[in-house]
Amino acid sequence: MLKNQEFTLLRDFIYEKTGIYFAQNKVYLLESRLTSRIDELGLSSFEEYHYYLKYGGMKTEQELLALFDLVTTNETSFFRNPPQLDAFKIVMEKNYLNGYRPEGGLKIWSAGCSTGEEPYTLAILMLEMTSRMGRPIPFEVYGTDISMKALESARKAVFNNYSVRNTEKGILDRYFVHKNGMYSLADAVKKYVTVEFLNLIDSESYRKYKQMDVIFCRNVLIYFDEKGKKRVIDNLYQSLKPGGFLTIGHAESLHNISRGFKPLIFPGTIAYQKG
Amino acid sequence: MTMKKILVVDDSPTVRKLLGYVLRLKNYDVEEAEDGMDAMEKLSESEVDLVIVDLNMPNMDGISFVKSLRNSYYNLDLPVIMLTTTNDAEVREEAYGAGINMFLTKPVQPEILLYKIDSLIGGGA
Repeated sequence: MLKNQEFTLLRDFIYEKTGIYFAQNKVYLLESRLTSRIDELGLSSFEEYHYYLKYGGMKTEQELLALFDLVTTNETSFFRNPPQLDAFKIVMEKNYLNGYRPEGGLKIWSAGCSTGEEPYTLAILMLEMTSRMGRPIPFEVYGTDISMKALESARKAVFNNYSVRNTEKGILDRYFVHKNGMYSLADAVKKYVTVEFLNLIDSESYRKYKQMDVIFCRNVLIYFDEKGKKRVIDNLYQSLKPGGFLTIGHAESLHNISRGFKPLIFPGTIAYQKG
Repeated sequence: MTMKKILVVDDSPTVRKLLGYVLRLKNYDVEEAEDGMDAMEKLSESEVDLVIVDLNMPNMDGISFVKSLRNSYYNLDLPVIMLTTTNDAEVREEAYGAGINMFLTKPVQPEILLYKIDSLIGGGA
């Protein structure tokens, strides 16, 4: 059993490193996720694990990555929440694909990309739109996450039925190879997407991610407390170009979090534009 | 016939309650938001026929709200009545410039408010 004091120690440690906050009512969730890891390491208590995380020397950094894997949830799929993707298409068609020529191409970022379904969906949408317009427009999609395990899976880009359950057959035929019940994403899509580690709470690590045209950061804010949310949103704001767009999760809100963004209504959804 | 829905945006719960009461009496469906940002989020989730918005509110004031709405990609023609204690000519002009349909000064006679709403979207169900 995770004792109250041990829980507080671990919770604060995880919060400091990731910004992810486990409230008191999540004690069982944290416990169930950490128990098997503690066994694997041959440790005997949560307190020992905390000590290991803090003073494990060389191993600390590696263990932190394992911890990041444990505290995140990787629920995602291709073409998730169509109204937000339709809003993305509207923004692209109205603001970007008509005569706008960004230097170095359009930059699209999926922050908290998990196993890659979101950045690959955005790349597919871009390919569909630009091929329909008959004008190739250079673009890049970045996918970042704190879970190395998720990123590894994103790089492989082989997906099961569940991941592609909302994907139209035409898209599956054009961009995937279906083999042994699995769907491998074509290199023609993969080449547009760069997948990398990034800790959203760490402002330093954003340096590479500047001048973004669009950022998707969906169902990520839910992990953070008020302070963490503000910090992440501030960081994302800095990463956007003036006039760039941010999309957050359907059930998430920027209310009381940021005044720098201008909300805009789309059919069935909302997006935020950097003023 | 479905009820017409009005979004009441005001940081004062008392004002929201009062307006809600008056509007419901005339069979309008009423939704509430506490400032402009909250209102934009509500508008992205449900179909609304008219907005009554205050001027001074935290997070996002009435004029910024109207500008944001008029710049949107959906529902940007939604009728908006600004209802505020101010009767400053400059503010009024700025509000019309931002795209409101009507400017009313608090306190407003319920009959007048209902008449103005009726002229914009018709009566409640």
